[in-house]
Amino acid sequence: MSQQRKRIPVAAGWFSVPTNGEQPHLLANKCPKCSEIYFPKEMLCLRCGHPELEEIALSPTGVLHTFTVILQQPPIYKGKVPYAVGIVEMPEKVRTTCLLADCDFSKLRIGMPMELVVERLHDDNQGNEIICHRFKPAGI
Amino acid sequence: MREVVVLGVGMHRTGRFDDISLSAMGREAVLMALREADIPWSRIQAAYSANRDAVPAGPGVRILGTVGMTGIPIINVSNASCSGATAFWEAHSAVAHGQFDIALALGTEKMARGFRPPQTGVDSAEAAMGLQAIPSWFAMNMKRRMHDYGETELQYAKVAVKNHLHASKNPYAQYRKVFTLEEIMASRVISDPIKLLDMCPTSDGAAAAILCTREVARQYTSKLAISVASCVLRTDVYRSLIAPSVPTLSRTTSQIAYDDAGIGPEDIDVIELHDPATVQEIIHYEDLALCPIGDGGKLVDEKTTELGGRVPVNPSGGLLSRGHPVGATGIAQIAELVWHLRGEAGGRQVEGAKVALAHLEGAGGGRSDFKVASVIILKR
Repeated sequence: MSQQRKRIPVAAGWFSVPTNGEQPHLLANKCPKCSEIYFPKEMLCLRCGHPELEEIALSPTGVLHTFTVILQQPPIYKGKVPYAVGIVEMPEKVRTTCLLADCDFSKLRIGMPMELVVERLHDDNQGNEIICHRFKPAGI
Repeated sequence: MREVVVLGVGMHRTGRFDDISLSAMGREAVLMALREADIPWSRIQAAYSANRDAVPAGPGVRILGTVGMTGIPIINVSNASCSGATAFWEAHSAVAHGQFDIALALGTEKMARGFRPPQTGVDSAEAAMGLQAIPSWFAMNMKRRMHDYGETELQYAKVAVKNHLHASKNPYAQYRKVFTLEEIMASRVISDPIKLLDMCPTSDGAAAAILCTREVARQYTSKLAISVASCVLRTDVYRSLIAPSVPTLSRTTSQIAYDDAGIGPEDIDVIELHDPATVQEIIHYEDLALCPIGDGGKLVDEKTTELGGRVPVNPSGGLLSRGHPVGATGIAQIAELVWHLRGEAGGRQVEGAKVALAHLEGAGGGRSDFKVASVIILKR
């Protein structure tokens, strides 16, 4: 009677969707000419102008550059409040502003190692699970 | 290029005016500028109208149709927080390059309350992930600066205390209440460590400026015509984490403006700059080369940027306290600085001000590192 509950990425093509508990990856693209890397993906190289970029998977690790804990619900966002947002720098020299996983926020520190997870953001009105990428403190 | 002067400026008070239409606010600002300039509407040859949020978009014709219908081109401008500055930049370019002799720059805005709704379309995934809560961007700047330079929440709060103190002397400001350091620090946390009173409000407001050549100015007002020494509008150059770091957008923009005007930061007597959050004012002290990078907090501690200090910043109260009616802010800054340069700024007058600088930095949308910035230098 009830339809199968689906897992739908909040943004298409931003991350690999793990099906069997394997490690997820962010999907970026790289300029074959000047090696600049873009996440989220760009259509052409903003650094050197090269018109075609190659898809690559980024390392699922990074370092926390800065962060904040948001206490007031912004429009459109339907996830949990309070929630943490940070800028994570990945080993490929790419920084991304992203959600941080639910954790003891008082333990967050600039410079701490982080690892990528893909998990539930909220349910849509058809009962499907909307999933997103988050970084969480490594080893916690 | 021809020398361009500001002949007259006008403002509608910034605040929340549910019973006053956008047109009425814009008209009041324009009529005040015309009175100051002592020039009839019929002599205005072109108008550049800045606004960001009006529906339908581009209210320039609607607003100026209530001032006079004289057949002139009216150009609508929208450019994030730099919208008003962009209208001024357009008017300045048109007069400097000889397209027109007399042009109007108008800025207007009526805004929704609370968190800004996110942009639609391309950024919907970011909004769904809660990444478009604007205070969070400034909160992350605070956290990083506290880590890098040892700045404190108290130093940020001092910026709010200063700008509210300034606004208490400004009849055009949204807030005219003096706040104590304790009141700022005790305000509700929105995005740790950003508190409610670290953020600018949403606002309604309007401002206008009439620009013309030095020659034309002689025919009109007896008031001092203020010279535009430089007028620079820029967007980011792509910055890579792989390549060596390049200066920030606001740093680059101010450097060009200083060079165009043939002066340095030490020559500036009064500044209106972009302070959507307390921490941003401190960051922009450094961008405008008022102090070395990392020393911004000291200027607040030493009261260098307070009225009576070496270089008062945001004597109007800034975005934090005069308010931030986005489309109007850039021209409200010009109005404030023109009054200081003429010696007409009343209780908040920077005595003997001869050179003034206006700065804004807006989020371009899409990539967080693709912004727009403006720096305008005025001289008496």
